[in-house]
Amino acid sequence: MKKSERIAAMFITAGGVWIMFYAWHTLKLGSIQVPDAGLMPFLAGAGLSILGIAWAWISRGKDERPRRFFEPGIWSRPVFSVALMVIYALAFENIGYITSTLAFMVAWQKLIEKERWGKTIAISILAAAAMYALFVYFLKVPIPPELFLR
Amino acid sequence: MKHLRKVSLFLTLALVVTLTVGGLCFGAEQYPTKPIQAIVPFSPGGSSDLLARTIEKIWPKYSPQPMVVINKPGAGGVLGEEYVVRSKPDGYTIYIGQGSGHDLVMPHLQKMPFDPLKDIAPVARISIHSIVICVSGKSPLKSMKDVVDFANKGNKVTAAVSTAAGSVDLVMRAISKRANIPITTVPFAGGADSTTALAGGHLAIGGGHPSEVLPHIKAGRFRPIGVALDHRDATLPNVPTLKEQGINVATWGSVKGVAAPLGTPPEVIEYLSSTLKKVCQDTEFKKIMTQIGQPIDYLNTKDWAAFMQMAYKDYGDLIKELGIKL
Amino acid sequence: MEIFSGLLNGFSIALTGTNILFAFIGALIGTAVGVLPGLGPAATIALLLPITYIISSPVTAIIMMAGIFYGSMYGGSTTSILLNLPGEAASVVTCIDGYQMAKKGRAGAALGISAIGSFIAGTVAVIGLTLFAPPLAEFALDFGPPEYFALTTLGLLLAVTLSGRSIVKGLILLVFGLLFAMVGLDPISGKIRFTFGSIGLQGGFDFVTMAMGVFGLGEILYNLETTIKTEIVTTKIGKVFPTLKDWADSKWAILRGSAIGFFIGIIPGGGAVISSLASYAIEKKYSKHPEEFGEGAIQGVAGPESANNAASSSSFIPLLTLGIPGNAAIAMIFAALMIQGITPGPFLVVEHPDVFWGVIASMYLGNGMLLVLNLPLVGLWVQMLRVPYGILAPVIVLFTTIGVYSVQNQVFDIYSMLFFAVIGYGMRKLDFDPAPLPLAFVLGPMVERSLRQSLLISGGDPAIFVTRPISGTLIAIFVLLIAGQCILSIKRKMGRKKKSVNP
Repeated sequence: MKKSERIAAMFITAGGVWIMFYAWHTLKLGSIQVPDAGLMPFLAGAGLSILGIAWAWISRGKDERPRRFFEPGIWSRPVFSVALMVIYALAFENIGYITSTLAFMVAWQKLIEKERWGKTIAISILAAAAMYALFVYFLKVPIPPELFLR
Repeated sequence: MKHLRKVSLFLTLALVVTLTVGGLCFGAEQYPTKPIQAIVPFSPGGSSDLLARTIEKIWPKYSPQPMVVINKPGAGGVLGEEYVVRSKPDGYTIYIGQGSGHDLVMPHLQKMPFDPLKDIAPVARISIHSIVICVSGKSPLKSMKDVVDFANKGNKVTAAVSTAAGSVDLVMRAISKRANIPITTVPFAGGADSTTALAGGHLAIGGGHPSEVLPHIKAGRFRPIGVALDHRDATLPNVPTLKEQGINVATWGSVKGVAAPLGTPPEVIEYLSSTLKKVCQDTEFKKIMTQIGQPIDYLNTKDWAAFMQMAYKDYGDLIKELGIKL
Repeated sequence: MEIFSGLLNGFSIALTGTNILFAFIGALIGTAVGVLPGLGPAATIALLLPITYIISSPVTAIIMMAGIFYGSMYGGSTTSILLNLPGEAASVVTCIDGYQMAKKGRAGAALGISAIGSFIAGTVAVIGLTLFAPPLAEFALDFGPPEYFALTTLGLLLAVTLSGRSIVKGLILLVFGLLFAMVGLDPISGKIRFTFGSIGLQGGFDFVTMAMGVFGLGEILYNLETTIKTEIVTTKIGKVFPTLKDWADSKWAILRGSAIGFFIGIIPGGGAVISSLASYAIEKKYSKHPEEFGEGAIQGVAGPESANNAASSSSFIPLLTLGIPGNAAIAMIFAALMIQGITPGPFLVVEHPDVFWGVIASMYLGNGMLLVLNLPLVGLWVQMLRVPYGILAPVIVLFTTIGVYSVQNQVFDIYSMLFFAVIGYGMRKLDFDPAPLPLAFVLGPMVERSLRQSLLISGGDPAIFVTRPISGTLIAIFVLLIAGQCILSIKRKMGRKKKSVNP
């Protein structure tokens, strides 16, 4: 874990340096008396650079119980669910709310939770219906219409 | 067999005719047939929002379908207007608040995702209100002349303005140039924010719309010392214009109109424009508009489009003269 | 005593059938709105504004809208405690200990004490409003840019100290929060920052999007790492209501929180957030067991919850007495009053005493109604925790997705939320406590803006911050706190050295 923290810390420092450059070059710093748009970002970037180094410093040394950042078998579920959520977002406006929600729930139940088909379908329909009732019917939130209804 | 075919042919024809006639009837049904969405590209409570909601209140008196105000704030008004620009031109999405800073001022200063003059169809102008210059009630300054004297004695004049390069900011900078005194403009997060700061006496002068400053004037916390308009503002008849006081600054103030997506059928625009005219003549509407400090100044579609072009050019000239860049 | 007669008059108005009904409707809607992500009290009041045109009496309309506003403060704590989902900035602090309590099976106690504390705080604040409104409002006006800078910087300092374990990590998140808040339009210079040409980013990130992503989804992603199907609560759910001991532990926290919230809430702007932060920090300092904070200390819930409810009540003061709205929801109520022909300000109490006193009287009632509404619901909410996580997690995803979408109808916001979800996940893996991020996100813009405004006013002279009485005092507190922390940690290090020298 400490190794991953050090790596992350280096990313942070690098990011901080990049922000400092962006602030200085694109946003312009102004002066201490009359700060321009870039002054605070510059300071923030400088802060990040220093803090990144500080973080790497306090994470020095070996772990008592080494843990890998991307432990095999375990990190696949969060990554997979992010992928599912991205697909859901893509489908949201293109396929329509109800369809994409149902598809998302089914995919989640089957692929991440490895549920049985019966339970999956029941839960998916119930959840989609509840969301629809709450947000669309009661709150009149405008939602993208279904593809096959257009 | 032949008989059956004849019957089915006849039935089919009858069905087609009915549907066509029926469809024509539906098509010929008068606009509007469902509620009209009025997009306000600013946060609730602001002057454009207040205007829209006042229209929303009176509109059902003159139209079979209601108007529904929807706020879409963001990027100083650009996001909401863009939404309307890209909406279907069927007359059910309109934009209230056309003519504000992002339409007339911003295009001169930065790249916009659309052209506010070409990519949208103006419908009508509803009101113009001026920028009122005020000082804190505790201030010893009583007129613009006092401000100029104050500055010439070497004192710092700080001015509270609603946003950077907004309408108030432009007026302040114009005063600074034309009266030849240095003014430091301090931007805030909107009109309410800047008038609150002025009320606390933290700055020398400030500017705002009548709807923002009237409550403070009434409470004695503000003293109005000038309006940046060609003629006196109807809601503040006792306040002289800047020109009267020898400072040659007059802008178009804050103009507010209605627009629809490009391509909206002319009958729809005509309907909207004439109904809005009726709303502007309604007594209750007039009463509320006076209450919120927004003078009514209706202009029809053609004149409004011409006005926008003129105001846009004037602001462009002013910005060039003041040398404002972002 | 004309205050007394005014209040009596107010009660006679507030206690009519219609007004009681609308106060209840407002409280109900407000609670629901507080629980739902995305839809905030400001947006809800905006949606319901047309109803005020139909209701003939303006008092009734304002009573309902006020009910929605402070009702949402009650509801906001529910998702914070149960799901670690803060509905708005003022609820972030509640998540810290509230969610820990829920994980230990003490959700009922947390929710219960939160409701009770909110009731007491709300009532205390309304009493304060009744008695002290005008002079306090004038005090609020004295807060100009230098004072805001001092106050919000103090808030940032408090936000960092909450991070408990590692100051370095807390500071990193603080800076990130500041940076995220800088995305979009810079109000002082008019320039657009960090958007890289994206139109969707021009408006900047929305707090709800970030909070849902970092807290809600980030937590889900992290929990997905364990393959065992568990529920949120791993231990048996204990008593549903707070015990007498809980009450005894919390009563001072509630009272202190009420006072803090009442005074800081008057200041237009970040009142509720800063008061919840201040309350948490003070409770931690005064506690005999400060190490409990962050692990489920009930004072860490009772104090901030009371503070933000008191703040929401006292934010009416600038509106009713000065005509200055302090936040977006109050601005909507301001708009509604204006359209009804009522100009809020010092003359409100003279010109429209029924509006003034009617609204204040109904706030007493409203608080009572909200207590009655929320307490029985506690049992219901707690049952939600028993839903297996395999079902609860994707439902939370659905919930937050459409909640975020409902704010601006842009799918882009969903992507932003996912971006923050990944960040939240990474943060948890790397052992970061997420709280400073949203707090810096909210306070950061105020710090930057007021700093630059102050420098513009003073012409670049930094002395403006210390020469003015209020900001000078706040800066002094800031310096003292930092100095105190440094001295303490130096002492500790010396003590350790001594121990290792003398066996």
